[in-house]
Amino acid sequence: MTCPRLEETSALFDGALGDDAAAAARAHVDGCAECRAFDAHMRRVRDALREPVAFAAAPAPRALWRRRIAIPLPVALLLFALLVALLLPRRAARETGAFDGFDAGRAPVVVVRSRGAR
Amino acid sequence: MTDERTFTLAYAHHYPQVERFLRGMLAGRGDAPDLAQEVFLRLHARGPAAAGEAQVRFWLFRVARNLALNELRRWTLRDAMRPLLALLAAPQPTPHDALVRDEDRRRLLAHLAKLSADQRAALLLREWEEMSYDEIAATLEVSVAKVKSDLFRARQALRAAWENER
Repeated sequence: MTCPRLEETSALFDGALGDDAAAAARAHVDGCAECRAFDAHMRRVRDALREPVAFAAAPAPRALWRRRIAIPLPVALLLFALLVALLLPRRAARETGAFDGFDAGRAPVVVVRSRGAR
Repeated sequence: MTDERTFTLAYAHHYPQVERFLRGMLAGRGDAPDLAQEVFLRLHARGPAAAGEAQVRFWLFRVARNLALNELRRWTLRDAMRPLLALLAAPQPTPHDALVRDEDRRRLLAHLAKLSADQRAALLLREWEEMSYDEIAATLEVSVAKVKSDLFRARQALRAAWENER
């Protein structure tokens, strides 16, 4: 079950309630286990966030994607399409035999002669 | 344009906090120092004229929030492009996580990233900047009721995430 006064407990924690409302909220929190647990959670979050060094240095972005020289999306898509267009014909050529590489049946023959055999 | 004195004071007083706020808002998905510089460049170029210290502070965090939201939108696109990104650049190890020692804090930061941007902004301004509800509302240009509700929902979500881990 969720206590309907949890949001008020959050405002109390922030000191955002007027005197009367704060006194009433405090009295409620004292008698409500759920609000006390929520108060403890808020305190834990605050403690964790307010540690002296809350953040280590952020990772440096990859040079290629630095904000100032980031490639706009349409240009990036165009480049990608160009890349695919350049690579595809080569692959297709390979598959149709325009260049079929070396195979065992047609391996180049290397003849080794010894000088002493003349 | 902000006068030099206001700018210098604002830079000295608020730069570390603005950068920290941006780190929290971005949650590892962008270049917080770069955006923080952008916030202060904007302050210098077209910040609030003849504004008091409090107004400048609200202005800085408001602009930081807006820049963070833009950056997060861009990152949503980049996440979608990740397979392509993997083709273009080899991954590099990031020392980020190794440096975050405290376990509670590490888990909390991971969960922070899952909150809505509104909830995260309200929570960070409350817990780090120790702003009152009225100040948060003025900074984010929302109602005090929304601030109250966002803070409550943020805490509820963090609690649920924390308990789900157990």
